[in-house]
Amino acid sequence: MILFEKVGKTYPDGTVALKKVDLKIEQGEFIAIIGLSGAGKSTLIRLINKMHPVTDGKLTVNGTVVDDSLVGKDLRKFRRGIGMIFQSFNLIGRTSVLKNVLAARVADIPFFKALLGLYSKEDKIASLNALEQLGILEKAYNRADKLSGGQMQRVALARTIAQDPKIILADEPVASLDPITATQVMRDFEKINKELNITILANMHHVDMALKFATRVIGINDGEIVYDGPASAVDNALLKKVYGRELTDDDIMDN
Amino acid sequence: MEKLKDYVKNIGKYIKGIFIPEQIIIQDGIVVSPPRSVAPYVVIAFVFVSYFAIQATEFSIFEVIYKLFGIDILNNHFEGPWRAMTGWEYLSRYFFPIDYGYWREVISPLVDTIQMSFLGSFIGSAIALPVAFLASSNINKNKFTLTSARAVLTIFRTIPMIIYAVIFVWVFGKNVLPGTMAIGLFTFSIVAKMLFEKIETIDLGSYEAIESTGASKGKSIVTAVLPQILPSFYSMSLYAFEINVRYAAILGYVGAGGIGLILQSNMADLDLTNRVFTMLFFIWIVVISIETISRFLRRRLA
Repeated sequence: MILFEKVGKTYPDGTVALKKVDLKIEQGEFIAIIGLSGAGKSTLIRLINKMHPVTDGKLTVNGTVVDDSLVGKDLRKFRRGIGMIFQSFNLIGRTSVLKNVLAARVADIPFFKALLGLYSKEDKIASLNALEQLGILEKAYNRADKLSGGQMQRVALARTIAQDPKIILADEPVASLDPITATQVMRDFEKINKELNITILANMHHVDMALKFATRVIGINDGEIVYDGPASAVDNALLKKVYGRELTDDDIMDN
Repeated sequence: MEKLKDYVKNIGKYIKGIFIPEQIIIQDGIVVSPPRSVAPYVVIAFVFVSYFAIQATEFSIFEVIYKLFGIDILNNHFEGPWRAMTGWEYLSRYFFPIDYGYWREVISPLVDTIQMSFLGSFIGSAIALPVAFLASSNINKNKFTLTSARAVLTIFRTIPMIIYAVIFVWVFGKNVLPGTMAIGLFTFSIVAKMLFEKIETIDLGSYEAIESTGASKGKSIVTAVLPQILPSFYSMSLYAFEINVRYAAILGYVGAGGIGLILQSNMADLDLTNRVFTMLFFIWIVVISIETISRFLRRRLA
């Protein structure tokens, strides 16, 4: 369970990104976060694994209080349970797909083994299994930077699965993909969410896709939550609150 | 001809166009003004600096030709040549012919030179790798260690390799060891510099991704950053090795081992013989071979 209690975030330069956010997220939910660029979506997601520290209120993730005292070894152990997916995939270039997936397990091996890239057979099996689950096993020994965008995001998903997380945070996971590939990647998220009961929080620009795949939608405007409820209840009036104006056909992408 | 006249007539306009780009008018009378370029000013500054440099050094291509070949093209009546012979006569009389049989004596110090360069390049590059990470502002957020690492690199880079050799010969005696160490230090300073500049240009997204899995900073670096820069690192090390073979040839001149030792004994009282040129010939063969192999390997790494 993820619990936000009056959580706020002010960046060192004085920018207020989030104001008094209250949220309760149960294990296994599939949540889409919508809102304009700069509304605070990325900040909200990055607070959960402390890529950015909380500056106000209290954030609890699966029983761990994410505050200033969570540092070093404890922080790293905490992050082990949270996967992260990025808009630009963030794969390691010039190296194989398998090595990219194995990298998710580097936290558990000694430094010299990490340096030499020595992974156990168990790690390799887990990583290959993750690739198989996403239907991209045949690319295991290809170079990661030679794949298409959709394949890269799948590898990133496999990497996250190999990490065996309870929560996956996805920052604009399909924003740089074409509509068809984006739908496929969203289906992968859906599958992972259902089969492995992993909580998914995804920032989305495509409202239609957010409504189609997520079970719950959180709308953010200027650092505040303006909507939090089931995807089925989202209507134009709500979207107007989130985006500050009504969405037209031009804003909705057809699939 | 008409065209040429047209050019002459409008010469003022063209010169003005170099400094202030002409506005472009597109449809509906919309005016687009290109930004002014600094390039013409740079060219003017370059010409000025070159002119003063030539004045200051009294460089004259005619004097060079006269002293090398004894031809006074413009009848300038230069003084000299100093040794009563032109450069070309001097070179051809004392340096040629190449004494191919001399290789028996050259081979052993030449192999020393290659070994010194190889070992020095290897050790220097190996030390450069971790220091380059310390000196990269995107990886190392600690101001103190960052500044120290960069300061150390600047100091090492300022000192010429031959000075290292002199210092190490003084400490360790005349041997190949001081030569190897001098080459190692030089390699360290240039490879670390080139490498940290490379590290600063890489995309840190994958690093962030690995750090988000709970891996420590060090493990994230070796897992996500290292594979991205290793090919460049190998390439830089090979390039350093190429340069080092050439430099190492003169290190023996101060007693730091290798082929330079015979160079010194052959040039002791400026009594140049064809052996000097013979040695240069053999060094040239080695340098060419290493450069060819190195270039082949580096192309494969790219």
